[in-house]
Amino acid sequence: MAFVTLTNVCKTYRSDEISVCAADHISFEIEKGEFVVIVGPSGAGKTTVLNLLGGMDQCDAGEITVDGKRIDGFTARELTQYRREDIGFVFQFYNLVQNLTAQENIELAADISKAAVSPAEMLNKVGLDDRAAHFPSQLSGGEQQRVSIARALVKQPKLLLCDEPTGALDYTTGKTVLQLLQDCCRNDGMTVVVITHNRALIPAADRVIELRGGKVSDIIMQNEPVPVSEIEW
Amino acid sequence: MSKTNRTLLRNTFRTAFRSKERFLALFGIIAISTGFFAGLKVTSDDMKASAEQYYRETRLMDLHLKSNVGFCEDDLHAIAERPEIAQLYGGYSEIDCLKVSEQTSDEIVHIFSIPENAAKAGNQINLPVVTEGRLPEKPDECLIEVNTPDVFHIGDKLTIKTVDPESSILSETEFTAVGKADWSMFTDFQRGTTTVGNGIVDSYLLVPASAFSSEVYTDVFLTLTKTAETDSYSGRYRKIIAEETDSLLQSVPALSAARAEQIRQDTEEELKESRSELDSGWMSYEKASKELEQKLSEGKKTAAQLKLELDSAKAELDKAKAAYEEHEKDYLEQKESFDRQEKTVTAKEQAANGTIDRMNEQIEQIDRLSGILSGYRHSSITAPFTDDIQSMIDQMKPFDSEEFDLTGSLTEFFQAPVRSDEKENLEVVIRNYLVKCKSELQTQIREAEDNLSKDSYGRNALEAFRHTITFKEEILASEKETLDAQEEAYSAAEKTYQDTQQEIDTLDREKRESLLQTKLMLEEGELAYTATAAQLESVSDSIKWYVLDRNANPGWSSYEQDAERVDRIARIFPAFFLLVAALVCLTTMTRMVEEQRTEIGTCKALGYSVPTVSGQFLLYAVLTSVLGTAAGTAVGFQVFPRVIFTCYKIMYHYPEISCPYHWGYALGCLAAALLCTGVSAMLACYTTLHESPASLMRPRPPKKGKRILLERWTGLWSKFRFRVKITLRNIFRYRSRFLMTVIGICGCTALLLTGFGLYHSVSLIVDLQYGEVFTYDAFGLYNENAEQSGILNQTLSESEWVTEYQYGLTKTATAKVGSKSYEVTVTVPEKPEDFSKFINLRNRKTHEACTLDDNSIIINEKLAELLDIETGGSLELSDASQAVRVKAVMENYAFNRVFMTPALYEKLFGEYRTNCFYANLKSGTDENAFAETVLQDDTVQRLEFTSNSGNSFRKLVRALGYVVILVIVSSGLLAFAVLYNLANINIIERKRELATIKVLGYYDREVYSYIFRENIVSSVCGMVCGLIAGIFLCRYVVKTAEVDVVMFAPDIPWYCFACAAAVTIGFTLLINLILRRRLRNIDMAGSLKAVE
Repeated sequence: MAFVTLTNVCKTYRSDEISVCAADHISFEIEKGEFVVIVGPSGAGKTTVLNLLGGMDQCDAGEITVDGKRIDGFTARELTQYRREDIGFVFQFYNLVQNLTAQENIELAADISKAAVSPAEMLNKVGLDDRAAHFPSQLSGGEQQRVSIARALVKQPKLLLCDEPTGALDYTTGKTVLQLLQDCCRNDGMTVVVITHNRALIPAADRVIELRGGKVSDIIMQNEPVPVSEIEW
Repeated sequence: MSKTNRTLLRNTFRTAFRSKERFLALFGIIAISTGFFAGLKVTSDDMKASAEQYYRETRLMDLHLKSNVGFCEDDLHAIAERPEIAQLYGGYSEIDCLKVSEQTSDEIVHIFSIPENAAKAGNQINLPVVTEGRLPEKPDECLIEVNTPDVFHIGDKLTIKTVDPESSILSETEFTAVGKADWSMFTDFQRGTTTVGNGIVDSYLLVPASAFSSEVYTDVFLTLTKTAETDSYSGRYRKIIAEETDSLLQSVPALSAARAEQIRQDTEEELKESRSELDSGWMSYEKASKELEQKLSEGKKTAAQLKLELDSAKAELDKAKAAYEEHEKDYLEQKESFDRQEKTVTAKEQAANGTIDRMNEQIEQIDRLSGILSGYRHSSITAPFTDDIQSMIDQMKPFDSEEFDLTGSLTEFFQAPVRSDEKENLEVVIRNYLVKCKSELQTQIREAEDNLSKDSYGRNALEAFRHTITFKEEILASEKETLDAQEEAYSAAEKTYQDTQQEIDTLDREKRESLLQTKLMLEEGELAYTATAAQLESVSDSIKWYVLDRNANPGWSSYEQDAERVDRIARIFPAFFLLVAALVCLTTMTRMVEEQRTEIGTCKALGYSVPTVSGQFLLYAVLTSVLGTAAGTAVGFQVFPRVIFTCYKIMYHYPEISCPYHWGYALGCLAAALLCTGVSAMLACYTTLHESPASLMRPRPPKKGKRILLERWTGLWSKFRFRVKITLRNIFRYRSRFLMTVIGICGCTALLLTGFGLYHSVSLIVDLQYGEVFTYDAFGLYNENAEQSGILNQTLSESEWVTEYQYGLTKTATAKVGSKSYEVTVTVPEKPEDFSKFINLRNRKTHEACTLDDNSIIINEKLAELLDIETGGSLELSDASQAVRVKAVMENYAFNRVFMTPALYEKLFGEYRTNCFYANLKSGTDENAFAETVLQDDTVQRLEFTSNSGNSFRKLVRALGYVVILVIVSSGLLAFAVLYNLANINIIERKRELATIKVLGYYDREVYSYIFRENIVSSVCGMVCGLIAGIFLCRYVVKTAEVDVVMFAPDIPWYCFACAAAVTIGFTLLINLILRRRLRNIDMAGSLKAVE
């Protein structure tokens, strides 16, 4: 059985009169240690998949299994625990707490996790040990995103979910961040899922899942993914 | 309005509805603060206005005239003619005692007349409001007051004991209570003072004017035209009254001319009458004195004649007495000589008779001897010589003579044994001798008897003499009888004379005395006449009028003071609320503008002008302000005046308060609310709106994180747990919000503490005053001038109920220091050393007992504060001979008191006479039975039990309970509005951060504490500040709420702090509980969105 499986997952958002079917029988699998890119245009259901996979939302139908655990039937608390222990999250806008220094932002996650590694070590790993005492406002976008990644990784999650990690960054910084993510995957065996609308990232992935209109339109396996440094967009 | 503006308008309303929390928070804070402010602010006005309304409806007089001579009908006309006078009523009043029943003490009542047709007549003054029963219709019917202590009831017959029947003008003394009424002349529970009884009027009765019979009115009540539209608590009213008072007083001579004339006429008539009375008096005096003289001279004449007669009688009597005495003397002399003679004669005769007898005896002896001799001769035998014979021989001794020794012969005869012949010879010799002797003796006897019969001793002369004497004696006795009769007649005559004389003397003395008295009286009458005649000239000058205004009515003025006290409290409470409200508005509006940033940019980019864009925020501000103010004032204008008035109704008697909607205050509040919201909106807009649309469209750079000062202290900082660090940083990051929370909570806690403190202060004084300071069980007042029946003394000293008692003196005086003076109760215990059993004179803080000495007084704490003096200072007491030093300040909560020793009292005021007693009763004593016993003593005027005394205070405490609830609810609402609003903003502003945290896997509980830790820290900070500020606020409020005669317990005990803190914490937790839902509902998807 694959590390992550989604089987016929459906999700419909209802508000007053309008109901939007954001996920329509989505099924795919992700193996452990893979670098996965989920790609699709706006409204294709990328965020829905992210939410469901990240334990931020419940699906209406279908099965979601992560590392052998059925998370689709989880209670709110179990979901929280799942997020806390199994998932690392990298946001498009970094979502660092402005009032905390880089290291403290990492501590914010480390504080609640049992398996957490030392925040300082993590900071060192993302190459920001000299910026530990800086506030987010004193850091560049790339640095902030690296702190964000460090925060996601510090609790040693099973799955690293990244929502448009390069969306708010310029080309070079974006590339550095993406490289960092790929390195995590290649060097530490972390399962990384990157969600983006940027098709240019496709070549760097082991597995590409393409969404369109709430459905999986294509799944491409790439046996020889290109290192991020070689990608251009 | 253009179409585009309408779109914007729609947007505004949608914005309002989209964020219900914000709208409600803003609405709430405005409603609460305006409600509180306006409600408290108008309370004073509403109280005054309602009172004013009552005065107007009952046509309360503006001025009350009294005169030393009363007012006549024409005086009333003269006053009525003055243009300033609107209405006028002449009536009567008198203060008397009212005996309700045997078991109760006398009530002192002030009896007033009211217009007969009060209900019908339109233009009457001082209308009573009948609340039960009906108006009196007959002269013997009366109204009793609503507040009458439970001793009279409708239908009761009330018997008046006139204090001075001579001067009483009441024509009825028994009234039937037909109704209960409220009277605006008396609005509180003081009924004035008097010289009757204990000096305090207990109640009033309203009777028809026909119950009085007096030629002149005793009271005149006026209303003025100028005051018709003037509020009586305004300065203008006071000015009008002062002017009218002056003008009335100046025109007294003119106004009272009729009465003066009447008095003059009365006086003249009186003079005439008294002249004729005097004249006739003099005449009868003259006549009486003449009669007396005549009677006296007649009497004297009679007496003189009697005297004359008496004198001659006396002379005669004396003469007769002298003659008698001479006779008597003569008689006595003769009688003496007779007696002497008689004695001599009798002695002689007796001697003669004795001799004869002796001789006869000797003859007899001789005869017997002769017999024996002859018998002896015939016997041959010598007879024994017996003693009988011997004695016979011895008796013969006188017959021995020279010629013959008889005795020897006889002895020889009887003893010698001689021969018979010899014997015969001897016998013959003896016998012869014996015969011879016998014949001699017989001869002698014959001679002696001859002497006797021949009166040789003067017996015959003596008998003749006796005869003369006896005759003389008889004469003398008859003379004596005559003399006695004469003497008796004389003494009778003398008595007659003396009686006559005495009669004359008595007549003289008594009549003269009565005449003298008559004369004195007449002379006095003359003097009085002259004086009255002299007065006639100055009748109009002697008329004095007293012009009293509403201020003389204690309830009227103290009600105003109380209303102003509310106003003073209203000044500081709401200011606080407004400050908090303004801060909250500012934060909320700023936040709102922040949130709308992109929209503003869009609008500007679309070409809307700055005013149009900012207009929608203003509109929002106006909307919330108008709605909030409307709701707040609508509730506040009703709730606050009503609750506070209800409290004051314990002390006053006014009908219901009316709470109109005060547009002025409402608009003022609206303006303030608009200022707060509008200005904060404008301020928030100002910076935002002047940025370019482009920069507005970009997300605002997030607020920078900052290190806080505490971090410099790395040693400490590194020891903090991570969560503590976050909390501290966040608190310092959102400094303004933190401050606002602190201020809001601080205010809330301070108000709570004040509420609890006030309640405690007031509730405690009852127990302190009547449990710890006044430890006696019963207090009685009696008339020290009345004759004691002894029942009281007996009851106190003998009753099994009374454990201890002591007499004392209590009186009312004025204590003065500088220009400040206050009424005090002076208490002088008879035995100051034992007084602590009844009243505990002690220091409030140290509980140290104060002892009285003969040089200084002890005063209560409140008085010391009012007069601003301390121990060692001195104060003056009215009527006292000198200022007196204050030795100590004692704990006391109700009324102002001065304590001193009898010695000091005598030094200051003169004679010390007890007029009251304090008693401790055994627990379980039936107070009613005790009262019944004590009140049997007619001198007892008042009897109070400590168990009842606290009741009025207990009522006050109950009413204050409502105020405390009001304060707690208000503070709670305030705290709620502030905390909720600020916490809400906090959550909204940090939604993204919270969503991120949630995504990071924080459990709900951890998310709550992430936010609430900050809330709790700021609440606790606010609470601590509030507890400190509350001490001052409470002290201020307590001081402001105190009246002059009451001191509230000034200390706030720990449990008030605990309660205030607990309620604050409770509110904080409640708000946190409510906010949990909001935190739980934060969508984690929000973390994925772009920064707004």
